[in-house]
Amino acid sequence: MRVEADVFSGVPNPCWDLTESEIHRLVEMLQNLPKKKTQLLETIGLGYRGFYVSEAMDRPFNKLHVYRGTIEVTYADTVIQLADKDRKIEYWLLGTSKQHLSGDLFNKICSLME
Amino acid sequence: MLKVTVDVFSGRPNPSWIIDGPEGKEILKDLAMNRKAIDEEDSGFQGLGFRGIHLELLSDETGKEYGLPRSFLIANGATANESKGFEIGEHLVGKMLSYSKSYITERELTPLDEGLQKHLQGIMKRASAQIPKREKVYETVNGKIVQEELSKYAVKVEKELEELKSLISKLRKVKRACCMIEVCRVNLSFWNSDSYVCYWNNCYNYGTNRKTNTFAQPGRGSGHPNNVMQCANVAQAAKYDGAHDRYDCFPDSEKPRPLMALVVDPGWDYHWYRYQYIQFFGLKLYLWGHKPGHTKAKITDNSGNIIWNPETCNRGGYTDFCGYFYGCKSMKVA
Repeated sequence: MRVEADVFSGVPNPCWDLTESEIHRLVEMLQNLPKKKTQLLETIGLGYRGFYVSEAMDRPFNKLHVYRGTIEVTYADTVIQLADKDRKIEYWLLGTSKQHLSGDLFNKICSLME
Repeated sequence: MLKVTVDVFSGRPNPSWIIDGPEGKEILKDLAMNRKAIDEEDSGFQGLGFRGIHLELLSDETGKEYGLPRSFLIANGATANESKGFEIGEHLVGKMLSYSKSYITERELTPLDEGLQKHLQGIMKRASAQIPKREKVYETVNGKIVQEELSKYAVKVEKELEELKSLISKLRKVKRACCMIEVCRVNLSFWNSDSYVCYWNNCYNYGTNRKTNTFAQPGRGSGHPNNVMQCANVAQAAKYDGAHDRYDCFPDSEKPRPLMALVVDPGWDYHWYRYQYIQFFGLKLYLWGHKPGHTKAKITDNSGNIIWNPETCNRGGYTDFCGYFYGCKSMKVA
């Protein structure tokens, strides 16, 4: 399973893969989240637009979009939204990037997320 | 009788008092012999702080006697003899406490006391310290150091003239390089309705109006990939692909020739905009469209405002504006 930090416009976004144990942990955390009334998840445009979690190369169709306290789950034509209280999963996903990204890039994403 | 008002305050009434008797006559006589120390009302320095001393003759005869106007200013920063004005002003303020008993309405909010006198003396001292500079200007007017001042102005004027010549030359160049471009109508659904297309096309695809489904990179199509995210490097990579700087025209055979704008988040990323139009109540409104990475193409900036000008719109961290470029038919985008 691949995580993509959606932060760039021209160059490809930073991506990394979750380990088996991280995938289990993510599924476990998702199961406990309350559902939200689905609203259009609007991102800012240029800058930080959230994390995408998907099977590699499958992102347009089946994915999680984690952005500022909301997790949008897309599976085929079905879209539901979950509340990510205190952006817990968002920051957890950021934490999984540490061993894959350079320190500068990690800090860049941190600053954009604020 | 002579009413003296120190024009210094903004909110509260200015300190004011009335002088009568021989002392008033002495002051008027002094001023009559130094006409260059007086100026008309509402002239000179008009800002916050000491603005001069206002003198008003309270008898219609007095003015005639000394050949002075009914009211006037001294030490207002604009007279030809500021030194004399300040000399008289300092004398008046020095004596103001002896006139503190005469009743005038302003006195209720601004009583004449030692504290006020010291305050006035302090600010007048600071103001008078600037006299030499001012008087030099007037001496120039009077012809004493005309040569020196004129040569200074001549240098300044020559410099300005050179700048104007350079500007005119630039404008002529721009006029000569009036290039033809093609401006397309905004068609967001082309980029947004298919999630695969939306995902695999970025700002460079949108800017050049080429759907490659490769998340195109400047320089890649021409074999000159670029990894340095600075204006000059990204622009050069796009030029390797076939883009031109603005005003470096393409012939008609290269239609369509979109106008693009490049910006950079220094060290990290680049972003392109494309000049387009929308049809609004029968009017063509020209604006800029863009596609931030995998997200949907749009015509608004990070504040949600329509992008009329990519140089001034909200671009988040993409702080460096690199310039404008033309795309063309033969451009290699991949």
